Amino acid sequence: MKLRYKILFIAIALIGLSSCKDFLEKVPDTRVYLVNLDQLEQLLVTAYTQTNYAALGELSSDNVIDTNSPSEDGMRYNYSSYNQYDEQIYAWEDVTLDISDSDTPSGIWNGCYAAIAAANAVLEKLGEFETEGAIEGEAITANDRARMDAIRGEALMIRAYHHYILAQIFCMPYSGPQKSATLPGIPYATKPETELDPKYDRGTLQQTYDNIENDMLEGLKYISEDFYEVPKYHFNIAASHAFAARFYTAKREYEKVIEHANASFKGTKPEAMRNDFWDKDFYDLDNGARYYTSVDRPGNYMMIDTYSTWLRRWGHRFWTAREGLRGSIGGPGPSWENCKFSYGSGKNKEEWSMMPCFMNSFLSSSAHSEYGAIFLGTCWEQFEYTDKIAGIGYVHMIRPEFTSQDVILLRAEANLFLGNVDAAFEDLYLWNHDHLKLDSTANYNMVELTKDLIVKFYNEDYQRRRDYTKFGIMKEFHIDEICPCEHPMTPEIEPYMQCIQHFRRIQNIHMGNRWFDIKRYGFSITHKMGINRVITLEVNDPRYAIQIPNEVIGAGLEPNPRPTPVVYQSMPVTRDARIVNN
Amino acid sequence: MQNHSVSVSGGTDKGSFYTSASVMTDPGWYKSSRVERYTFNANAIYNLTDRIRIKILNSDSFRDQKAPGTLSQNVDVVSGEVRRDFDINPYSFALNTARTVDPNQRYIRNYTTFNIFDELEQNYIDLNVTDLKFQGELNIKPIVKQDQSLEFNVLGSMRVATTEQNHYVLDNSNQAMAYRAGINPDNAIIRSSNSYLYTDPDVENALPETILDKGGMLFYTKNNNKSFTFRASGQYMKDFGHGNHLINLYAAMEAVRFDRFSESFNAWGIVYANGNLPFTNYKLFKQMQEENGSYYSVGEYHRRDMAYIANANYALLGRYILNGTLRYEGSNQMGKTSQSRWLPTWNVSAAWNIHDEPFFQNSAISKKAITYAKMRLSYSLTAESGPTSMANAEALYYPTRPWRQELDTYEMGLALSGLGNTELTYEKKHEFDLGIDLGFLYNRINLVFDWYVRNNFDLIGLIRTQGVGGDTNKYGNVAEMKSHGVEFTITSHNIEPKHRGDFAWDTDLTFSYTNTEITKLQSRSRVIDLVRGSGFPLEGYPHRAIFSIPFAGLDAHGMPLCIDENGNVSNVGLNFQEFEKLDFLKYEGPVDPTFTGGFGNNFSFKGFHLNVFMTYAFGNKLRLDQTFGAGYSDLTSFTKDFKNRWVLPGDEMVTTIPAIASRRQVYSNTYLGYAYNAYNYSTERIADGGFVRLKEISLTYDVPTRVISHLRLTTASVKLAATNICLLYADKKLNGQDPEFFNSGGVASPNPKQFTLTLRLGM
Repeated sequence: MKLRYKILFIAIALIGLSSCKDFLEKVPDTRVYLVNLDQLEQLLVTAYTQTNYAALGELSSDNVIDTNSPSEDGMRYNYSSYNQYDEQIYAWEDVTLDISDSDTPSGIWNGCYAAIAAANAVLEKLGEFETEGAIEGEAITANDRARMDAIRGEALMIRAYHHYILAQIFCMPYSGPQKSATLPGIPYATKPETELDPKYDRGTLQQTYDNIENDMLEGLKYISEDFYEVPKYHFNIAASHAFAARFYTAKREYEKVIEHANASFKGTKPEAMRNDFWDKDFYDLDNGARYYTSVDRPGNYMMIDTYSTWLRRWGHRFWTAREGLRGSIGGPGPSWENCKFSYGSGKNKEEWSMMPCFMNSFLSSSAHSEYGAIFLGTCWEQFEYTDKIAGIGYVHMIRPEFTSQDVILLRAEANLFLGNVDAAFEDLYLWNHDHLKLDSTANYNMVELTKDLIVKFYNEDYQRRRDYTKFGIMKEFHIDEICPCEHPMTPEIEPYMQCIQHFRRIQNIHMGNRWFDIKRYGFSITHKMGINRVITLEVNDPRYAIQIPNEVIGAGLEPNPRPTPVVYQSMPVTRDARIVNN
Repeated sequence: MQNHSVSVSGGTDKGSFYTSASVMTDPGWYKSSRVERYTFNANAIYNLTDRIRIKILNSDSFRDQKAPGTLSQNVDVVSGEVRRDFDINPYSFALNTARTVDPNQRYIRNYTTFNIFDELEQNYIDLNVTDLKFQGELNIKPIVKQDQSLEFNVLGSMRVATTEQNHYVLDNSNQAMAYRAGINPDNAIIRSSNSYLYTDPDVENALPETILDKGGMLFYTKNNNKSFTFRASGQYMKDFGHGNHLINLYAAMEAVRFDRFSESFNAWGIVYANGNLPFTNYKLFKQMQEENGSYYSVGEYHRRDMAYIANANYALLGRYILNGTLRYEGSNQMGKTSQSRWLPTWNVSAAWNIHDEPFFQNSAISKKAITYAKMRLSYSLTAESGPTSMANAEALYYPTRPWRQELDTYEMGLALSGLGNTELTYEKKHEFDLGIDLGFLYNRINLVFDWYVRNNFDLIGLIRTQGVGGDTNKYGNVAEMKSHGVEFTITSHNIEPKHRGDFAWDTDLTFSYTNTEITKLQSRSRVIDLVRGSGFPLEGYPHRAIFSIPFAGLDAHGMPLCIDENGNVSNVGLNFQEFEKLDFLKYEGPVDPTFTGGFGNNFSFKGFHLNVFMTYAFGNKLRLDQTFGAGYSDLTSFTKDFKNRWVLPGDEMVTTIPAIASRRQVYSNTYLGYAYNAYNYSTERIADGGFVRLKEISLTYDVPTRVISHLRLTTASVKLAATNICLLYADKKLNGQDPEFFNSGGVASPNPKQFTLTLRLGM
């Protein structure tokens, strides 16, 4: 009798203790453990930032104006800002009003570092596979090895690119090896974070750029298109070299810019640019935007899909209007000065010149300076529903991040600084030629670019004579003060540089990249705000480095220095400042 | 509402059984809210020998419920509005619809006709809940002696619970018609603005078209929960000295296996009017794919828990009792990693039966004055695993399908959804409890009193990190909270009956007081979180605290003014997303009451029992409903508050209720909407949450045995009960609003006033 109970008791105890490890190792849900190369490839699908620096860059730049400030004829509008923090960005103040929106500095910071975290997880796992010499218990094959190299190449490019974007936004522009060693960089993340609240060091700007360069060069060695399902949403070969060309332009290493630009063209000239887009007429705006950002366009090297409400600023307080519009897509240029458009009648009639190809791609049928305009290729949103019936979901904006047109302007700049004016002109000519909208050229007299046109148009006297100075097309370059280089700026190349910065401003409209150009060229820009506030950003202003997110400062990371105290100038209030209702 | 139940029980010393079945039908407290419930319980005990006992138990229930068709809600954090599409909850409809709207008329909503009664018939949810439980228990007593006993218990149980929900949206419901408004009947203006239509992006210059040409929809969801529990325990008791040294040892292990499978399916284009014929448009699938949606989803969740428990109890002389418990629990929620898997907790307690002490019995205090006295002390460490979403002891990756513009560019992806946190641990609590139980006047008055101090630490909270690892907003064990409180219950037999049927009167009073304070929390909350009615945690304040925006009067035009985050008087509201400057907010109080309790009186006389029960709560604050806005539509219902609103200049001296803004005022102040929302969240729109409620009055009559014995019944009673009768006290500002009800729309409805007649017969 007693023995039976003992056996029973022991049996119960054994059931209890034996299988308990397996029992508690059941995976609770659909989470995935990284064990094979498919999963690493899949993780890299989401390792591209989902936040968009367009709003931050544009609002900081000279492409956007405040419609609440009086226009030339004293007109003020009472549009509200789409987000209240837009006002802080526009005034180059620390953003404190919102830290949850994806368009804020916090959003950019989180988006880029989250992408880097995924890349670091992949790189760590690849290292584990290498040391084990096996994947899922099976020896690594030659094909595995090729795939592992391709994965490593992509992960390194991702890590380099996102740190580069962070450095462009939150640091001063690259200022040569000496000065950059004294400027704060951004923390360079190289391994997955496993603690709750680790503290990081910003390092110097030079260290940040060195790290980016190392990762980029290492990544370029391995990058391959053999294993991508959708190459244009990944760092393919053309996009990787386009990034390298952009990086070396920022570092002013012009020989390397040309080398990588050519590598991205896979020759000396791009296979295609945008001509097919400009040639097409779109009546439905969605169609036009989808065409521009489609993977089928050969000029698109890489697209990044982001969440952003940047487009919704249209019709609000800050947008590309007045001089922001006339100095970029909606204003005169060397080859399209005679393409005249007008809007309204009588006293309210406005006449201006602009590139005719943009006419069909504006959201508004006019490019009236007070109404502003949108170029839908670089600024359009599409909706993804998470709950169709409740109408909840995500707003997507696709960034054509690397394009052949952007690279050709980078190459023009490099050629110019290397003293090769003819080659630079040829690239500018190509860019201009691409925009000749064939069927409307006849009507609007847009012509092929010539050197004479450039020299004539980008001339201060000429601008003043034609009353263009108020548009601020031409800027004062301080590129050698920002970053000394063995190929300095000279008066001979100045008109061409003016042309390049103007074309780049048009090329990258609404994308935020203008802000990076302003910083590296050393421009001083002015924002008029509200009734009478005028804020000027001086050359090499500490505010070139946008303040790191508020909560990150709170967590102990060193903030960017700010000028103290900020003194604002006031302009006289025009007597007849009228308020116009929206 | 009707409830019928039949139960039968019986048995011998070899075994016994109990079986019952019941039917409950409730036609509902508002339109479209019927419930039916059927239950069956069976329970059998077999004594194989006098030392081995088997117990088999079965319990089944099925519930069939109807509810108005409703969708989930979402909150706009910028302006602070809560909205639901296609909301037809009759309670919120009645509350929020203008009295000028005739419920029998047809109006236009979502571009098509709408009538609330029609819609409730055309758009409803059928909910079926099946719950089955099977349990077997084996009990063995190898030793049964006077001074020693040993007992083993093995229990195995299995439970299946299935919930099926069918949301029927019939052919002619407003929700279905909205998907073809503008197409059928043809109307170019509606067509171009109706967002429920589909525009094919692959067709150049396509016109919007419908993806629901005919019929309606069926949204089906099913949840299947299966759980197995196995528990084995042993208990040993030994008496070393005739009741002077009593030892009780207990050990147990428990394993629980829980699996949930959930699936949902959306059927579009069911023609209900025509034999449920499927009439699906292929473009629906194209659109779904383009929007990264899906017409079905399948989910799974698995939970495995193990626990080992050991308990020792020692009683000395029957007066001093010492108790200690150790628990060692583990779960699979962290996944394959063994980190943070196991959790040890403990408890020690002591009790002292003072009334058994010789000095007490010999003391001058008479047995009559204090009959019973006991003191209890306990100190424990308990822990919880925190919310189930906190499972990132190592990095979490989930499969995902990122949205892409073109259908052929979709790729499968993995998302890093949580960074690893090697420091993750359980939420813990130290609790010290001191209790005194007293009985007076031969236990006619009893008091149970408890005082406790709790110290919660390692609580999961938000922490803002440097974000270099990929996330600035992390959750970790960073918060601490302490609380203390008092609870007591007094039971008094005021008048004891001398004989059966004489007048008797009993009184119960319960009281509890709790005070919580968050002592450590890094997160910085936004204004919108702090002023909303649901409350929010903030360091230095109670668990859920509510704040108000300081109201600064009305301006000369009747527009509301408030103090903004910079301390200025503002007529444009303020930034609801502000999270740094919060000092300007006025702390109102906790959302949860600090004093709660009940007061009950029971009178009996000759088979009649009268029960009067009241509940009370004090110490909390309530946010009033958001009734004010910069603009109102024809369908808005206005509360009585509007009677006293600002109408003429000068009224701002006498009223604090803002004017209805004119169109001109709305246009010239683009932030007026913020100002009105700030008013909704201001010091003006807060009420005291304290109340005294007459919760229940019931009168029961037990039919005398001599009457029922004629009817071959053993018991019979009639009971008439009224619940939620009225509020005896509540803040006047509430204007009749229920202080215990937080309206979130959807199927939420306040506590109904109920009258119940119960007839109970026993055979």
